[in-house]
Amino acid sequence: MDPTQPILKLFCRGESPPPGELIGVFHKWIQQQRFGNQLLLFDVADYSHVEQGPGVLLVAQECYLGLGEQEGGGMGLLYRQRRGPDRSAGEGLRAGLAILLQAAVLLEQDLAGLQFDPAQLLVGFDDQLAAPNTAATSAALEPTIRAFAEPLYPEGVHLSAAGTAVGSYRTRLGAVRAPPSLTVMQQRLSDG
Amino acid sequence: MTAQAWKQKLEAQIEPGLAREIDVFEKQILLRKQGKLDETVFAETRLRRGVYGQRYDNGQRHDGVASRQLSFPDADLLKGPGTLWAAPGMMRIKIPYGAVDPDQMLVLADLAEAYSDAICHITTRQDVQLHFVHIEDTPTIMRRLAAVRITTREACGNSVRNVTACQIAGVCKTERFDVSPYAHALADYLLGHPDAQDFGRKFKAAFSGCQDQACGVVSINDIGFIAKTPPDDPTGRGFAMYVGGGLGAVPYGAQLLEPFVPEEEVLPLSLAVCRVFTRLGEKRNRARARLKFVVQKLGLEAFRKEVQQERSKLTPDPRWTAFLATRDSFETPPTAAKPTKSDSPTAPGANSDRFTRWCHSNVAEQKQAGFVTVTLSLPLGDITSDQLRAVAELARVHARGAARLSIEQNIVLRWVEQRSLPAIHGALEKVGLAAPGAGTIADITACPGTDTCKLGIASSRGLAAVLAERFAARTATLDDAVKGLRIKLSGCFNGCGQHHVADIGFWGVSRKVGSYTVPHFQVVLGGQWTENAKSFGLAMGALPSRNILEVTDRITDDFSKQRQPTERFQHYIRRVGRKHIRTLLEDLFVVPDHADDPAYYSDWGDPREFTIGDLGIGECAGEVISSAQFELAASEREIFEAQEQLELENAAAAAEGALQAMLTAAKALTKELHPGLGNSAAEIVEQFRARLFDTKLFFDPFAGGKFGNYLFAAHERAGQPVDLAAARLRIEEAQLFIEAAHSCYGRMTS
Repeated sequence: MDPTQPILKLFCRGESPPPGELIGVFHKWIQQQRFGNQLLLFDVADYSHVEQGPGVLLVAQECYLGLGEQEGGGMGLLYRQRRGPDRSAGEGLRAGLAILLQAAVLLEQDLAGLQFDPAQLLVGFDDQLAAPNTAATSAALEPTIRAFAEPLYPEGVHLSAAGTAVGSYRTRLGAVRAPPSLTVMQQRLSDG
Repeated sequence: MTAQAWKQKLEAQIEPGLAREIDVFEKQILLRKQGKLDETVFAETRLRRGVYGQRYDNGQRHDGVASRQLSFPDADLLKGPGTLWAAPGMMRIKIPYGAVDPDQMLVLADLAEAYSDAICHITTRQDVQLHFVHIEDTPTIMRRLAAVRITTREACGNSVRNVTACQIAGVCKTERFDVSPYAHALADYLLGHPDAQDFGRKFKAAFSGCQDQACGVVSINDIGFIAKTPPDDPTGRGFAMYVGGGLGAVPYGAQLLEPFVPEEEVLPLSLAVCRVFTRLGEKRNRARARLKFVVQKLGLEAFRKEVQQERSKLTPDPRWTAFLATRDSFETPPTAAKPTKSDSPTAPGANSDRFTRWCHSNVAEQKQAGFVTVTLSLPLGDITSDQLRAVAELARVHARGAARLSIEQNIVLRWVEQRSLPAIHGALEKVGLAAPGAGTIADITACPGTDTCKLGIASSRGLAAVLAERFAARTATLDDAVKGLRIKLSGCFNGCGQHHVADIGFWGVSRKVGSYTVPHFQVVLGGQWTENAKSFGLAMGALPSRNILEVTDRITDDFSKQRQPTERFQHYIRRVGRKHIRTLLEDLFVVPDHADDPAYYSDWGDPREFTIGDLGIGECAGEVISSAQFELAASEREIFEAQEQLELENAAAAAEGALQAMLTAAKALTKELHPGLGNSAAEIVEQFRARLFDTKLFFDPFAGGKFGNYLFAAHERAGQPVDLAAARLRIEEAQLFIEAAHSCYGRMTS
């Protein structure tokens, strides 16, 4: 069975904005429905009081987008799918990454000083049934992950295990050479 | 597909009865989708399965400019009146007396990640709540929980809610005996019991091992038990049994029904109370449907007779006593040799100041020598999935799998050997859970408020987060008496944050200022948490939300300076009185002009212009103060004066003042519609009824006509003799009436 509910995270480079500023930006995105028909944005959840937590979440019917420390041990922008059409694991990751990159580009525009580091990407699935975080899952999913990652990082990418042994599958992708920019990644994703 | 796969995988692990129930619920979902099950019936059905509504599930949201429709899919399909099928909701998971083992914690963590926002929220009733859950995922969630012996059944709705108990029951140094087996037995016995299915409202039960401590806060429950030992039999066990407590709009302290109930009578007597509640409890008017109103209406003596009568009708049931055979082995104590204190801490940072402070506030000795409890202070009751997984591992390795959720929204590990403390602290540091300050002023309790609750008026969590951060940074320098105070916040009058029984409590309200609506909090001071939440605090008035930090500072500073040696906060509040506190806070009641400080016009953690219930529309600026606003302000003054009369124990004047305050507020509104209104009480009541009550204009969106009825009842009883308790009640009702008048005025002028 293909795992469902992909998660992806882009990490921040340098300082992250104060939660108050981010909350304002996310509310504005809801007001302007910045993702058009792609996402129904409807709430902002502030978890900035939770250490290593999701930070500030933008809640959509289809996914969460949050800037926080949850997942992967560092500040970054996390995409977590909530609901969506049935897709293969690879298609799910690509659809999720498209949203994540779009949100990252918008955030860099709206929050002065915020920068993401495309050199690393955390990917996984919130699916304990099809993708527990085991060596067997890693082996089974490696071709899918490589097929997803290699077009994004044509100069080489390495995979390293992430997450906890009792959680769901997580892996960290790292660019072997100089990473592409966010917009180049967007281009490569749409080309792929 | 995934749902089916989970069902097949877990089939053998779920108790067949529970599996059938979940199958039935899954079918009800299908029937509702096909339009073959009425939406109202389905709503109560899902509530009794713990599947609750959440803010914005009516498909409307005020985005700071205007109230807009949210285009959820399948907009014609409802899961309850006005509740859209596709809009996410909340799932409440019952954890009887808060007891969780590592396997259960791992499943909760997984569920939060897969179906919620990767946060488990611990409630003030030892439940776990998941937010943003889709209705169609709920059967799978239920199955995954059932596989680890957890049910969501009767977590919401008109049912017996989670049975609570002290989080350190069984290891507490001051308890008479461990109440956990009794809480477990009662929860199990009443779950799905045919005699507990036809209530008009919810029913809450609690157990305490100690009379003097806060323990299970028995006084605020419908039914409560405090452990007792008969004087002539030191090995005997029983309970003092209390009934009719509850918070909500008008709080009632539970009354002593029986000073000593033998242990074998706990279950049958509880069932007898349930049967009385079913038979005599209000069914149509939800506002008067809790058990407390039955007790009040009948009087304690008559209520006791009803209970005895129902008890005499019960056919003996082996479950009443079966659990007693294993009560002493309920929680198997460790068999290892008695541990000793470690002379040389083994983890890095074990001698650090932070570790020392953490040990001081978060670690307590058990009654079993050499063992301690460790409290994990969760900010606002929130814990991430990864953190919960780490706690499960700590519980497994260091606490013999024993953990309890607390009614102060924390997690307590039990049976920890003292020598394990450095390792535990080190592990908690790694996952961001090593904050000191459990049980201090920085360990604040708050209900979800406007974050996710449909009833929330103001942001209790937003304010609580700021207060917690402020006090956490200052705890080292605070006076010990201040450090030990408790702050609790609720987003509305319903009191889920238990503000009534805090030293310093707040509940969210709103006020009209010019053409704007401004978030405020009612300040309630001097509630008593100890002695099972023995008494409720005194309301001091509503202040702008933005001023609450300063309010808290001034009150704690004043307490610190004015406090007499060994004086507790409750005594200080009663000694200095309302007048002193009002004077202390006088300038903080003022809301600056919007142009001067727009921050007052939005809530904590939410930059949108403040509105009530996300139903309002953008309000244009204006500075004109209407005569109605003046009259509403006058009603607040009158209620304050009534409170002063109550303090002077002048019951008649207090009750009369409360009625007058309601009449003034009613007049303020009625005059807006009928400028020729006179001043006689009869005319005000008559015109108010005709123009605002019968037209439902005054009705609260959720409480309906409840607050209007307070005026009519008080008017009917005008001039009749009253005692202090009745006068106090009249004042509390008048305060709610005035709050409702403010809300109504907001609606009338928006």
